[in-house]
Amino acid sequence: MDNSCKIKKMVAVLFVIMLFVMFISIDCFSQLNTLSAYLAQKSIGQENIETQFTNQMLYKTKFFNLHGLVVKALDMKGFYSNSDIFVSEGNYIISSDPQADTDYEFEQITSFYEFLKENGIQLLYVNQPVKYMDDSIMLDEFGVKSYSNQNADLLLKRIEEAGIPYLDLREKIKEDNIDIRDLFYRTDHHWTTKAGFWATRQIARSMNDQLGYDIDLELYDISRYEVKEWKNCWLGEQGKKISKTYIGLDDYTEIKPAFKTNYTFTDSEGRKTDGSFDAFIDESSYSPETDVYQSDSWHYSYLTKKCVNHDVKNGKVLMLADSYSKVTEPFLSLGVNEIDNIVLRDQSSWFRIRQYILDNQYDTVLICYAQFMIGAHNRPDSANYRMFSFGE
Amino acid sequence: MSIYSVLFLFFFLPIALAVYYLADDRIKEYVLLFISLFFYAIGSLEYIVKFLFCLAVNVFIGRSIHAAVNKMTKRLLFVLGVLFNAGVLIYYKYSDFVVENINTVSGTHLPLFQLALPLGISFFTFKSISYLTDIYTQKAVLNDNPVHDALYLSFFPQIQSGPLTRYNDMVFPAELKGQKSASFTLFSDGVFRFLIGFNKKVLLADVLSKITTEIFSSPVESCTASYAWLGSVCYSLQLFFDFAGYSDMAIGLSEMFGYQCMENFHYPYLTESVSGFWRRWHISLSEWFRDYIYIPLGGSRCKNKLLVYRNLFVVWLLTGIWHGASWNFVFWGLGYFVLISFERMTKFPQRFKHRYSRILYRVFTLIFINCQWVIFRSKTLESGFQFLKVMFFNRQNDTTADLRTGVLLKEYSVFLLAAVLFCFPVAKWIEGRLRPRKKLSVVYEALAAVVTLGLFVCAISFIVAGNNNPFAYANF
Repeated sequence: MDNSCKIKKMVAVLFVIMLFVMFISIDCFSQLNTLSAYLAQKSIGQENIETQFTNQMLYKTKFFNLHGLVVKALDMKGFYSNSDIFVSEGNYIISSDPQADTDYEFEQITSFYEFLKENGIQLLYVNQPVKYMDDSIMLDEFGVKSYSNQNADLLLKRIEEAGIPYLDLREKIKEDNIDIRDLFYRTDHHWTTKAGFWATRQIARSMNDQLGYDIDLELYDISRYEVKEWKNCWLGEQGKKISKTYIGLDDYTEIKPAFKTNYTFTDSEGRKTDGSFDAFIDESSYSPETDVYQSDSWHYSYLTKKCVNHDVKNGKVLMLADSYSKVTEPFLSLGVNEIDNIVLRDQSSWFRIRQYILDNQYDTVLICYAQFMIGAHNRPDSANYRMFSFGE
Repeated sequence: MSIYSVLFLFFFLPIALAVYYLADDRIKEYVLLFISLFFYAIGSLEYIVKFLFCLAVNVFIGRSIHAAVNKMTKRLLFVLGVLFNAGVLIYYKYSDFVVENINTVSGTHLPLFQLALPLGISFFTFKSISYLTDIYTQKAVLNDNPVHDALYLSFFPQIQSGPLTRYNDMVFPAELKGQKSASFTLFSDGVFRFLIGFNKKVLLADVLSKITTEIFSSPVESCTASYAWLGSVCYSLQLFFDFAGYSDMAIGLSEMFGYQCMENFHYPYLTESVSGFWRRWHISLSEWFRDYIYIPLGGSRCKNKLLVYRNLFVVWLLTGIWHGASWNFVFWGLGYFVLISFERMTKFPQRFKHRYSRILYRVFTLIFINCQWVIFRSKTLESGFQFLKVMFFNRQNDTTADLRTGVLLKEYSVFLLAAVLFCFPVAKWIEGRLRPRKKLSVVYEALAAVVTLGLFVCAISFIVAGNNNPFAYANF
């Protein structure tokens, strides 16, 4: 027998061993049942079976990490472009946005503004930034056009011309000389808790300046808060798609008042409970010891709640918001008497936002949207398709 | 179920191998037939009953042709069998195409059938026709067991995308009847071949498909020449590694179960001419058309030369239509008819005396094939032409796509380089050079084995990460 033949036989033996080890490890008997169920009654789609088998695979996470390592070693920063994930310098994930004419958004905001004005309710549109301030970064680094900031510029210009109060947080970032990358998680599209805290102060100041509020800005002095930090503890939603070996883990900061707070919270069923600011934070999400791919998003440890702050007398505010508000609503609640939060994409089709506002007698509505919401209505398959649908 | 999925690799294959090798030699073909039907059921559950019916009809007709004494009966059964298979193929694959064209021409609004394609329908029907023809022409040497026929038609490594092996090539391996060492050699060759095919498919074809998917789904008006050329070249490479990778896996799997299988690819992009390309690309399909269409029509031996071109026309029209039910496939097939007829008439490139002329013609051939793949890849004939127009007559002022081309070339350079390199017989060349130096040769063989296994693990990681695509040829 020649050497080539011997080597091939050794490879064959290793291959067979690998097949059987993996076979035994995927809990073959329960998988047989799954397969039988599929063959007998089509209760499970074929794609689901494939997914189920892949999920049961031994060393699945290790294989996934290996994949990330290979892609990283080859320096393929745009390898996940089909998921709109581009890895910029410093392992900072960014995404592109298509061009939007902003017509739908503008029409909806102006009509909504007129409705609110007729009913004596104030409106403030808050433009929340994405992870870059200059769209040319996508073109320069990846050869891809992005229009996120241009879309926001266009919409805000039209809003300004229509006389609708707005706050462009990008301007405040420039004024405060902040590096945009310090405001966001590297592995997630959300801003950090610190950024949300900073943004809340800007929103409160803008409410004072533009809507006649008198929110005590001293409330947003960081020295009055407990700040707890975790290093390399979690992986963001985008990071989970490309592996921790590629992108690395993110840090996390929890901020909560060191002073006493006094709230009454109302749940979705209308039940009321008394509590403190701590109720806004679900600390069970912090699980650095568990598998980063399985653990919940740490950003979502902050919760949005309908509540009354008994320490403040004025202000009944409704936030029409996205997931950025997970960290801004709790902090803003410290400066107003009542606050509520609605995410339009999560509401059922029978939900009527205008009637809801009238029924609850809010005095102010804040529309706090990340820039990438603009133009989502041009794409019917977008999860954010209904975010600018403010009713008729 | 794809033969590169986790479900196949780590569940189906271990069971199939264990059951097959533990079974007594006398029932091995029964076992393998059951495994093949099980494979079909997982992959195309809604059609398993119909598939069983077609299988039974073909084996029944085949055996009846064999048993019939009367020539007329034989012919009748043969025609019936061919019509049955052609009917099944036309019904499932071409009915909507026919209805759409009737609606377009006559202005009617006949409803479409919108049928899902049964797994490997084109390959199964072609194999069935070859089976019936070989029996009718007495080329096939039937054994006593009809189960062998059913296994030949439904053999799971080849059911999805070929190769289109012939009945006589599917010989129950003598090695298994005692010579365990020889059978293990075939098995280990099969494993190695499977690993190589798997790596080609997942690490080259699927990775390159990311580029082609992006470029071919971009609005054509935003494309520049460089961008379009990158897309078309990547698609040429992707399709080769996709289908050649699949064929390697199919051959490897066949060998793992003790059956040898014909080659389907032989470095097609090394061809000197368009005619030569089809002697290297999807060899089993070319041979099928040659043996079952071209030669029965008279082939190139017709006294009237026009008839030879008629025969070529029929073959390439059918080749185009076989690949898909739309006009771009028809055009694609006829494109080959034109070039192959041209080569036949002009005796190109054999008549070239200068080396440079031959090289120039080779370059032309590759560009032609590349353009043909653009038509093949496009959703419509019109979009294919638009894409070609950008490649050759680009007037785009916006250079964003050029920037993107640069980024893609840089990012995918390793994969592109590997893909281009492995279009050539690099491994064979190295083996040849090292053969006289035994120690170096052993080191090379060992290194190649380690790299192949390492890349296999890497390829699994790519599957787990979800960067795999269905076989480009799976729906033909």
